[in-house]
Amino acid sequence: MARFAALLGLALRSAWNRRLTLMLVVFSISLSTMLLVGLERIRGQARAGFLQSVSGTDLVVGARGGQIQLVLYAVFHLGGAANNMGWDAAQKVAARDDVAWTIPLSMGDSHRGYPVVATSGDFFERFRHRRDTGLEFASGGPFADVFEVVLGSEVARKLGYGLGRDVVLRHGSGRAGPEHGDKPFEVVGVLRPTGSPVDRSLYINLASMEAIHIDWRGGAPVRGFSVSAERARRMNLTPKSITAMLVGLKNRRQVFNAQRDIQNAPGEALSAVMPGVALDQLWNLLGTGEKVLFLVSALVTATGLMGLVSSVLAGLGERRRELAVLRGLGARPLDILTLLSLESLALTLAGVLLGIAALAALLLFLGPVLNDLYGLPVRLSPPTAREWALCGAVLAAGCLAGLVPAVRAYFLSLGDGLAVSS
Amino acid sequence: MTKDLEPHFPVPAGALSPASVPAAEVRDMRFRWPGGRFDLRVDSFKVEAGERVFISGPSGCGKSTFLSLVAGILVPDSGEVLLAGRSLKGLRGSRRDRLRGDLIGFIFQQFNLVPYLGVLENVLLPAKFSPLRNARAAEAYGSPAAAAGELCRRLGLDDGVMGRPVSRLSVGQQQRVAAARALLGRPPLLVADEPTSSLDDDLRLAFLKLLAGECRQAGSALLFVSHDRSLAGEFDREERLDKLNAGRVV
Repeated sequence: MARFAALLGLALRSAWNRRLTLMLVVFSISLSTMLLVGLERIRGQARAGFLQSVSGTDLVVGARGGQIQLVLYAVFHLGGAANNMGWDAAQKVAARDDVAWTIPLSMGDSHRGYPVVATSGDFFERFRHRRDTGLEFASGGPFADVFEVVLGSEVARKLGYGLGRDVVLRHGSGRAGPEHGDKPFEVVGVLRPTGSPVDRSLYINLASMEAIHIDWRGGAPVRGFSVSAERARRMNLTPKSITAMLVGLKNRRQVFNAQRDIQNAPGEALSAVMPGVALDQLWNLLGTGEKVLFLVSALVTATGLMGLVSSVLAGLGERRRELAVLRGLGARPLDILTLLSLESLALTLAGVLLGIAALAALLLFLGPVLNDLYGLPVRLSPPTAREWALCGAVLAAGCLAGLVPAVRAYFLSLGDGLAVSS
Repeated sequence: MTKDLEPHFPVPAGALSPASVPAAEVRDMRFRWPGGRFDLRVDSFKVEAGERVFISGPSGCGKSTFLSLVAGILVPDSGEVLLAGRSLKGLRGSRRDRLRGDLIGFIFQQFNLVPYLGVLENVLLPAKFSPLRNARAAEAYGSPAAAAGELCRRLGLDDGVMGRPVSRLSVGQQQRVAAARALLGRPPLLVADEPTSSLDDDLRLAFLKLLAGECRQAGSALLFVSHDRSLAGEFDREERLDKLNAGRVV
C-alpha cells in the first residue's frame, strides 16, 4: 500500500511536471466528458420534461381512436381529433365511483397559431406537470366568466399581451380560418412558465367555447344569423361535446380496471389512455436522433482518449532514463506499468472532473436561457445514475487506453534495465 | 559506530550483511549477449563487507554489463550471483528487483535524478521502494527525511541547493545528491558506474573521497567502475575487468 501511494505520488508529480503538454490532453478529455454528459443531461431532462408534460393524470379519455393521437391532441394540442366525445358520456365518466376529478378539454380554435383550450376552472386547480407541480399565475387569476381568457407564459411573452388586453380567437388551428371577431375575449390571467405545452396555449371557459360558436354551424358563421355577445351570455351554454378529458383516480392502482371499464362501457365508444405509457411510446419513436447524438459524442470521447495515448507514448522516449533510475532503486517492471497507468488514470480523472465542473458552470448560466428560449428544462442538479455511469465509462476507457503506453514502458524497462545512458 | 550498525528492530534474518558475509559474490558466471557482442566469464569475484573495490578496464570491455549482472538486472547464462549472502539464482524478476532495492545503492554516470522531484525527494526514493531501507534510515535519525537531510548536509549540499529544482543543479551537485540517495538506509553495497566521468578533474577526486568516507561511515561496501585508473589509489583493491574476464572480447 505504501508502495502504491509512492507510485501514485510519483505519477502525479511526473504529470504535474509536464502539465503544459498534458493540459491539452486534459482539456480534450474534459470537452468529451462535457459533451457526453451534457447531451445525456439534455436528453434525460428533455425526456423527463416530455413524460411529465402531464403529471398526476391517470387517464386521458376521448372518442375511440389511436392512443398516441389522443395524447398528442389532449396534452400537446397537436393534430386534430377525429371525433369528439359527448358531454353526457363525459359526465358518466366523471360520475364513476373511482374517479376523483376530471378536467374536460375542448379544442379547435386558435389565436395567432397558439391553440385555444376550453376547459373548466378545475384545470387551474388540478392540472399537474413535472413531478406534481401545479399551475401558478404570474398575474391575474383564473377565468370566472365567459369571454375571459388566461394565457400561457410563452403566449403572453411572445405576443406582448398583458391583463385587460382584448383577444380575438380564430376558428380552426391555422392562421387563415374565419375569426370570432364579434366576440372578443379579455385577458384576465397569465400563467407562470411551466416548460410544458401549457406555456403555448390559451385557456377559456367551456361555456365561452359554446358562446362563440352559438351562431356557427359546420365550421362557419351561419349567414344572416348572428347572436351578440350579450345575448349569447344569457343563453344555455352547456357544451354538447368535448374533445377529451383528463381523469384523476381516487386510487392510482385501479387504473387498469378503470381503463378497461371505460373502454368497454356500453354506449358511446371511448378510448382511455395512460398518458405516461403513450408519451413513452412517442418518445421512443423519436429516439433515433438521440442514438446518433450519443454515437457522435462517444466518438469524440474516443478521439480525446487517443490524444491521451499519443501524448503519454510520445513522452515515454524522454522518460526512459527516469524509468531506468527507478528500476535501479528497486522498482519492478510491474511498478513501471502501474506508474504509467496511474498517470493516465489521473489525467482522465482530471479531465472528467474538469468536464463535470465546466458542465455545471454552463448549466448554471445557460440552463435558464435554454429553458426560456427552447423550453428545454435543463437544470443544474446532482448527476443522475446514468450520468455517473457515463463518467465511469470514460474513466474506464481512459484506464484501458492508458494501458497502451504503460505496457510499452513495461517492456522498455524490462529490456533497458539500467542500460539507458542518455 | 559499530553499535549503530546493529538493528534496534526486528529485521528478516540475513537482511543486513554481517561482517563475515561478502556484500557481493560471483561464482562461475557466464554471460553472452544475444547479439554476441562479447562473452563475459568470471570464475570468482568477491566484494567483502565494507570493502572498497575499484573495477577498471577499457571502454567496451563489459563493465556496465558486469555491474548489471551483479545487481541482478541481467541474469547470467550459468553460474550464480550472491548479494549479502543470498543467491539470486532462480529468483523471479520481481524478487531480484526487491533485493536490489534493499541491498544496493546505485550511482550512475549521469542523469541520476528524477527530474520532477526535489533534492530531498530524490534522496528519499529508495525508502519508497524498500521498506527495509526506510526502516534503517528511520532507525538512525528518527525519520527517513531526517536521515536524508543529514546525508545531504554531510555531502555538502547546503540549504540553497536543497530548495532548487534538480535540473538547476551542477553536475557535481547532482552526483552528490545521487550519492546521498545511494547511501540512504545504509545498503550493504554501493554500486557506482563511472560516477565521476562527467566531473571536472579537481572535483573528481574530492567527490570520490567524500563518497568513500561516507561508505566507511555507513559500513557499506563500494563497487566502483571507471576507466580512469588514476582514481584507484582511494580503494582497498583494484580489479581489471579485462584480466578478470576469462571470456573473449569481440
